[in-house]
Amino acid sequence: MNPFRYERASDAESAVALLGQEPGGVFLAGGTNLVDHLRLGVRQPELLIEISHLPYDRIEPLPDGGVRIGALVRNSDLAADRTIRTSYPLLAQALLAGASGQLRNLATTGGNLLQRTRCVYFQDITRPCNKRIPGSGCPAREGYHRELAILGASEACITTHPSDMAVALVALDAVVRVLGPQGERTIPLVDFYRLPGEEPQRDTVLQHGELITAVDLPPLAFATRSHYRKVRDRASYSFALVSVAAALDVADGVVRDVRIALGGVAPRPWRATKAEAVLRGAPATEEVFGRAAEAELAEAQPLPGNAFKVPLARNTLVRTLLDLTGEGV
Amino acid sequence: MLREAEAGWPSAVSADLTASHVTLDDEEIRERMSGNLCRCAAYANIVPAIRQVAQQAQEPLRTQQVGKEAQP
Repeated sequence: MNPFRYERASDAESAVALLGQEPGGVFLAGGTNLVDHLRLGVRQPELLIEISHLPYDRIEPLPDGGVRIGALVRNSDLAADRTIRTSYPLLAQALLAGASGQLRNLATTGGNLLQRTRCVYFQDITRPCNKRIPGSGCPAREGYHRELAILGASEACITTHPSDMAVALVALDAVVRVLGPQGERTIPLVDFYRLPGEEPQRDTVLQHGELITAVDLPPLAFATRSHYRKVRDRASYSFALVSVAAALDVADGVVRDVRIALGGVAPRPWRATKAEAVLRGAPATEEVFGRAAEAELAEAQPLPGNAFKVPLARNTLVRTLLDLTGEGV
Repeated sequence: MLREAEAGWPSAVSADLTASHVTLDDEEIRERMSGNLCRCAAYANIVPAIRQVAQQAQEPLRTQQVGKEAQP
């Protein structure tokens, strides 16, 4: 492990200023992903700026009926929050489907959004990886890619985004609040993550020095009827092969409105706008759900080792929507 | 883990996210012990052992209540 400096920021503004002065610096919150990277040599920062004690640990109602989640709210506290469990059950389920109790006790909301891919080549410093060392190459396409992307990938990178929480937040049209050297700005989460293109080293549109302070959830009345379904190799403590976050509003057998995001299939949480377009105004039937899923996956570009994800994603989405149309869900 | 269940915190296998009480059946115990640093967290004899501890943790309360009722 490389030596690094450690500083504890006295407040958010000084944390931003400190990082702005140090191109090789990073913020440290829960550390559940960053500390692994330090040990593995995946990242070698010059400076760690501790932010976990800053006052962004509250879950507050917003005047419009939405909820503001402080960036330092722990995943376990967010999953246990009464409002989240009642008004946004898909978010509580996504959080509980991720990692383990011990990790959720440490992991923060902002840090969860910024966790890096678990692609084996990214985490193995003896192998090339365009995300870790730009231009070094990607062995995944010809190599091991069972967990990797079927949508949104590029020649340079076929990684998947690992977060469960972010999939639910993308479905909910969450907005990220950021503090930077020039002040505050807000970024819709759906625009927050980049596709890899030619620059797979950049996961998000955040600029160096910007600090996530909160995530805002807009009100969504029909999110009370929502679900997060995760398919994985083990029943617990495992990343998604495919996951679906969905909220469904059905009246008289017709889909009035719907929100869908897919996890485990793309370099970012995948908002399923094509499936949503097929569903709005259509009968809430298994046949229509299937057509919607197929519309979303029509542009999938699977590789030999992950082609199973196309039917898996289709069927998981259909099953999730069927469950949401059933009684008592 | 027992205190979280007492407080009604749901887990990934809880059917009802808003229930105020969690019944620690084997499935709940396995999920809540999942990822424990000790990897034997939910091996065969550990699940019933935790169930037993969870039940015993409730028993002193009952004994206390019975004791109170018995007092004049």
